[in-house]
Amino acid sequence: MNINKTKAQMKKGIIEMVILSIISQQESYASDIITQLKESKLIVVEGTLYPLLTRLKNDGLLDYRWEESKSGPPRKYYTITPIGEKTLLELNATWEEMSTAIKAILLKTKK
Amino acid sequence: MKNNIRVNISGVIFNIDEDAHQILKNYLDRLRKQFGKGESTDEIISDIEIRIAEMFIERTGSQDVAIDKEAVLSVIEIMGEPSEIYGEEDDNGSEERNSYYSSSTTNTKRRLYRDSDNKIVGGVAGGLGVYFDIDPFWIRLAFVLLTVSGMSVLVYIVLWIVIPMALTTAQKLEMRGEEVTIDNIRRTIREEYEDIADSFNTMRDRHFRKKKGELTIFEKLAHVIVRIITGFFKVIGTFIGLVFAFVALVIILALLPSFFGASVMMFNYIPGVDLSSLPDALSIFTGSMYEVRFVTAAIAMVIFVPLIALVYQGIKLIFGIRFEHKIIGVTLFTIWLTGVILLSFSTIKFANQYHREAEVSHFIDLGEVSSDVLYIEIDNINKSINFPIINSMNGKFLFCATDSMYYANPNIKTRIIEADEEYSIEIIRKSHGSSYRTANKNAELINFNYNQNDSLVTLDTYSSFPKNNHFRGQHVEIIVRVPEGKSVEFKNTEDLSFDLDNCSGVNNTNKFIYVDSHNDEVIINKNGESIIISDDDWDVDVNY
Repeated sequence: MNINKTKAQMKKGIIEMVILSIISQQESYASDIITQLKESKLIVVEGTLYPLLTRLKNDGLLDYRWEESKSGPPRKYYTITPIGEKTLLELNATWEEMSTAIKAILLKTKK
Repeated sequence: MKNNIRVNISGVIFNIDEDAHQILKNYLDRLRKQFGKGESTDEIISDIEIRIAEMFIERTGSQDVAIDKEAVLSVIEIMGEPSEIYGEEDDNGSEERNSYYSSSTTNTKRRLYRDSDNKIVGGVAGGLGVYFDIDPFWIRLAFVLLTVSGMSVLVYIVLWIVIPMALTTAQKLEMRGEEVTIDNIRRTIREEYEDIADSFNTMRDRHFRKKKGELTIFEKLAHVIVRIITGFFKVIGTFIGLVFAFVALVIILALLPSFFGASVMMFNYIPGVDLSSLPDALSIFTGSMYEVRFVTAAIAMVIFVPLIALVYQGIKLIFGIRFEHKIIGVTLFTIWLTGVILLSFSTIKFANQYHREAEVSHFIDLGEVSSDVLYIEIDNINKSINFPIINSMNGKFLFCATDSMYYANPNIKTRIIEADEEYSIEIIRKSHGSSYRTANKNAELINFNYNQNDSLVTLDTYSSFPKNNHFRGQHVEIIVRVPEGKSVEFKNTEDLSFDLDNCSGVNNTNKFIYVDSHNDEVIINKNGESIIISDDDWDVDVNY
C-alpha cells in the first residue's frame, strides 16, 4: 500500500471544498488561498491551485474579477457563485456526516 | 558578464539572465504539456505567470535587477514541478500520480529526450538508451545495422525532429525519471504524438526566435528540409565512418603478424626459411639488423598511425565520446610525420646502394654445330622447386633459399649476324651498387650456368647470388646470335614468361626464329603459322 498515494487521494477529495469555503468567507485572490491551504498542509506546491481554480470557475462554482495592483500585475479576485454556495453546502453536509461516522468508527477501533 | 533578456510576464517587464530565461521558458512549456491542450490550459498558465511575476517582484523589490537562475529555480520550487501539480486531464483513475501533493522530485516520470550529454549525431540513441535503460551502444549498433535496410535513417531523422533535446538540468532529471511502466510508456507515446504537431513551432522558437513576424509555411518547410538533409548526411557519415574504422581494424590485425615476424604458414615452403614477415623481406636488401628494424618501425608508423586514427574515431563514434582529445591527434600526427621522415631517409639511403650499375659479360662461341637449328632449352630441373615468392618485380620473381637468392626469367634477346659466322651466346650479368666497384663485385658473384651439347644449349632457369650479398638488382641478360639464314628454337619456356626480346605478342610456347634471305624475321609458332615481321621492327644488330 502506498501511503503517500492514499494521503494524496484523501486531500484531493476535500481540497475543492476547502477552496470553496475560503472563497465563500471572503473574496480572495490566489495568494490568499495559497497561504491558508499551506497552513492546513493541504497543498505543498502552489502550482496545484491554479488548475483547480480554473476548473471550479469553468464549472460555474466560482467567478472572478480583475483588480489592478500597484505593486505588480493585475490580480484575479475570486467570488463564489450561487451554484458554488449550494455545492459547498452539500459538500459540508457530506463532510459532517462522514467525519462523524468516521470518528465513531475510529473511536471504536481504538478501544 | 551575462546576457539579459527582456521579458514581459503578465504585463510586467523583467530583465532576466539568459540561462534563467531558458529554464523558466522550459518550465512553462512542461506545465503546458502537463495540462494538455485547450483554453483552460492557457488560463491556468497565465494565472501561474501572474503569480510568478508577483514572486519576482517580491524578490527584486522595486530595484532594476536581473532575475537570475536561482530566483527562477526557487520560484519553480514554490510552484512545483509539473508532476507534482494536480493536472486537469487525468481524472480517469488509473493514471494516478503518487506524487500529487508530495514535494519529492525524485519520482518524476521519465520523459523521452534526446541526450545532449551523450550524442553522436542527434542524441537520439543516447536518449532512447536512457529511456529504455539500455546501453546506447546497442541502439546505435541496431541503427547502423538496419541502415542496410534503409529504414533506420528515416526513422532516426523522424525521431530527431520529434524528440526534444534535454538541455536544462530539470529536463535531464526528467529524462532519467522513474521506472518505465506500461502507463508511462502509453502516456509518453501520447505526448510524443502531440510533439509532432508542436515540432514546427518549437523549431521556429528555437531557431528563429529573433526574427520578427510570423514565418510562412515555406520557411518552415525549408527549415524542415534542411534539417532532414543535414540529418541524413550526418547519419550516412557516421555509418561510413564506422565501416572505415572496422576495415582499418581488420587491416591492422591482418598486418600485425607480418610486422612482428610471426610466420604465416602459407609461405613456409622451405624449412628454416621464413620470409613471411616484413623484417625478413627487408633483410634481402640489407644485412644490418639495425637498418631492418629502423625501416620496419618507419613503415609501421606510416601505415599504422592512420589506421589507428580511423579505429580511434570509430570507437569514439560507437561509445559516443564527444570530448576532443587534441593531444591524441597531435601525437598521432607527429608519429606519422616522424615515420614519413624516417622512411624517406631510409629510402634515400637504400637508393644510394643502387647508385651505380656494372655488367660482366661472358662471350661463348658455340663453334660449328651440326644442324641449321640451335636448340635452347631452359633447364627445368630446379623449376620444380617451390621457392617462396617474396618479391615480384616486372613479372620476374625473386626467390630466396637458405644461403642464396634466385632471380628468374633472364632476358633473352636475339641478334642476327653474318651468314658465315658461328652461333654464339653472350651471358651478361648485371648489378647495381653504391659504387662501380661494388656493383661490379655484385655482378661477378651472380651464378648462372649453361651447358652445350652440339646444337643443344641448356640454360639455368634462375640466376642466383649469395644471400648475404643482398639484392642490388642482380639480373642476367642473354644474347643469342644467330647467323643469317639459320634459326633458333626455344624449349621449355611454357611456364615462365620469358622476355623474348621483340617477340612480345607471340605465345611463349616453343618458337622458331628464322631469318630469311631478305633479312626479314619470320617467327613460326608451334602450329606452323608464320608471322613475318619487317626488318624495322627488329632490333637487328648485324655488326656482330
